[in-house]
Amino acid sequence: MIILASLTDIPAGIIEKFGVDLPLLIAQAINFLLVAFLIWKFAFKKILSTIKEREKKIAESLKNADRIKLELDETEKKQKETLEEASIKAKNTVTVAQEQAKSYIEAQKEEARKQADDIIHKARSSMELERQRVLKDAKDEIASLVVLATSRVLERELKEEEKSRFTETAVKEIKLSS
Amino acid sequence: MAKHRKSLKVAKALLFSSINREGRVDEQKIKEILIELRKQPRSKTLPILKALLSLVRQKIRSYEGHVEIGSSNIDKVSDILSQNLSDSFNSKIDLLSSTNNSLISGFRLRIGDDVYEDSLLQRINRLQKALT
Amino acid sequence: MSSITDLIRKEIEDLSIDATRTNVGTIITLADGVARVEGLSNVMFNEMVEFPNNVLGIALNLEEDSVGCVILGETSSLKEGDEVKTTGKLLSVPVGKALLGRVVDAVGRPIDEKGAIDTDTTYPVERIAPGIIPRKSVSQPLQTGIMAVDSMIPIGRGQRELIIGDRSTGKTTIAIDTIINQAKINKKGLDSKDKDFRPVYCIYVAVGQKNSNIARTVKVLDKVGALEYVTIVSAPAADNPANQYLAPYSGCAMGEWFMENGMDALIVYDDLSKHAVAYRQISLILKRPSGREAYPGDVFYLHSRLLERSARLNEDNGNGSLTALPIIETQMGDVSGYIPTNVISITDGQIFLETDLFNKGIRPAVSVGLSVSRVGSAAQIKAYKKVAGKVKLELAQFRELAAFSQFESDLDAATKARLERGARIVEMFKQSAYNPILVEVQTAIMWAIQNDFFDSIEVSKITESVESLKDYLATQASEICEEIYRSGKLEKENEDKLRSSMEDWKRTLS
Repeated sequence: MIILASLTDIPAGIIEKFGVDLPLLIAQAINFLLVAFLIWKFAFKKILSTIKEREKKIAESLKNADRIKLELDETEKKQKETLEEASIKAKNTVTVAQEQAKSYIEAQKEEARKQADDIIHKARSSMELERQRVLKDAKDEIASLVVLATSRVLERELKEEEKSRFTETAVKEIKLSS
Repeated sequence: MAKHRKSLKVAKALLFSSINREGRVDEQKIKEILIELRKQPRSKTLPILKALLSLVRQKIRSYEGHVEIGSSNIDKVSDILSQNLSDSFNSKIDLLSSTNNSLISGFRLRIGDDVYEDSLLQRINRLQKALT
Repeated sequence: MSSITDLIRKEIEDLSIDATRTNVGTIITLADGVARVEGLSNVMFNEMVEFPNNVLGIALNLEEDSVGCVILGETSSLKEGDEVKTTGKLLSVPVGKALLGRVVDAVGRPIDEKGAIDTDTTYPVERIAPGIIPRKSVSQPLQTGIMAVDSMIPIGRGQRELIIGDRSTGKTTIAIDTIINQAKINKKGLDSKDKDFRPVYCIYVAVGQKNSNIARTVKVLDKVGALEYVTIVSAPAADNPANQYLAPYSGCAMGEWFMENGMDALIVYDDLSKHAVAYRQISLILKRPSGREAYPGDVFYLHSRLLERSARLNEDNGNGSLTALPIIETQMGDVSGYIPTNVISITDGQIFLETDLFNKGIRPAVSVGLSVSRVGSAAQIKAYKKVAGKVKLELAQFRELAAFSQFESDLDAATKARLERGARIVEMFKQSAYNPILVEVQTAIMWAIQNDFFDSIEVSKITESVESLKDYLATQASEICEEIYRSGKLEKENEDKLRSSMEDWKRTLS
């Protein structure tokens, strides 16, 4: 207080010179403090709390953003993995399909080969059958000619006594039964 | 069927009555049977006549043998055969012989339902069958 | 040329030169393929007799004063008074493996112009069936390749299963499908060189059919490569009734050769109604007394002695079998006719084909309610028994509830499920002709439907789904099917593999 008083003493003259009116100043100070107090109580607090809230929100969303970024990274990684898997599977399917196509073509070739063999075999056996048939026909023809010739010759050339002798022998040897 | 059996029975009885003591069918008796049957209506006697015909044929076949010979020594061959037949069969068999040159040589004897054959024709036919 | 002269020389050397004794008779009447002969006192019943010009006949009626003979061949060259000789032999047919792939007539003579049949063995056409002791009960399956039959009316080797239905209901198709399936299985088994594999040889007897039908059948069998395992005995409608009467017995003699030599055979009689008609004709001409529907009194014996010759023999007698599939045609679905009831009482079950089902598009038109197999699941492989055991019951329940399907929205979940499942099973059983399915593929398909894999597919798309499943099984899941074929069982491990394959297939469907 004394210091203040002394302080106010010395510069009193200065203050007067600068036109500072001390009671007015004190009144203005009190005014100011009053207004400041009112503002602080009714507005500033709210504003502060709002600011604090917003700060919190911003902090949270920043945290979230970090998390989201992490998740996004993970998702991207997973996507890449799935795509890779899918492409491997697709490749496998294509390979399997190619192999199957190859084996199918091979099987068809084999089938065609077998069919060709079959046709040749069938042609051969039908030729053989034809040959057998011709041979059999020739044999039959010759046989009937032989028989015909024999019977004609026997009819004409066999002498009566030979015929009679044959008949007698045959009749003697026959075994009759009732 | 029943009618047929009945006619067969009647025909059997008629046949039995026409057999003489030697077991042969008597021609005279058959003639008498036919005269009697002609007196009956045709529709009744036809099945009996048919049955009688087949029975008479069967009976005659049983004691009558037919032999066809492919050579000219009929008499000698008939004698040998008759001897053979009387040795093998219990009853007397009448043998009728004829010549059949298509046999070339040998004989064919039919007695009852059996046919005995040993002729060159048969041998040639057998040869032909074997070759084809 | 020298070979011919050698042949002739040999024949001349071998010729016997004894006198002959033959028993003869004379034709007294000749009409309608039957000759009445007087004489022939030593003829035996069913003995073969020889008419002039190498025409054969059989002595069927031995009467007091004459013998009634049926002529097997052309009667145009015969006349009254011709001499008839006995041969001392019963009618026999050539038998053996040389008959496979051939088409023969009722007495075994080839009619397919492929040369003579190279066999020395002959079996008599009429034989006594095996007695009680040589038999064994049926236990091996005969796969027909038709799902409706193999799952619910399974046939075993040695069984007699009648195929009965109206005209044009698919009876012959079932028989031909069975034959084609045997050929498929034979090829697979013989290629695998498995020692225990038993091929099934087939005989198809066509009695009284059109020549064009028989030709078509031969072509179908040839196209799928089945002809090399089949003998076809043909007695078409234009043949004289004696040939039609004998053809089934000749076929049976050929089948008996396989049975008595330790092999399995299948014989199809198509069809026995025409066979009975041919026998009726012969009997009436021989003046034998007629009975119901003018059939002779022994028409039951006609079929019973034929079908009793199909049997399964025990190991002491070779372990062979002869399975018979007789076919009977009914008139207007009347199974209570004379011949159908006779044959139903002789056989071990029947496959009943209905015209209604056929017209509705359900082909094969098998009526599940009226068809039965008295051998049953003893003739199914274990794997198949497992999946097909409940199918018959499910179908029966479906039929019961079918009337309620119109109230679809008001039904409870269980009933709806049964209706859905039943409709899908009916669709699954539809199969195209000449397309038999192997048993391992059938097992997989039935397993799929029992494990709800078809529940999400629309009923109208079931048939094409089954086709796609068959393709998938043939390409991607062939080892699973091979395992079922080899072991006959569906083990847990294989079942899991099957489940994952099915899931893959489901994915490809959508």
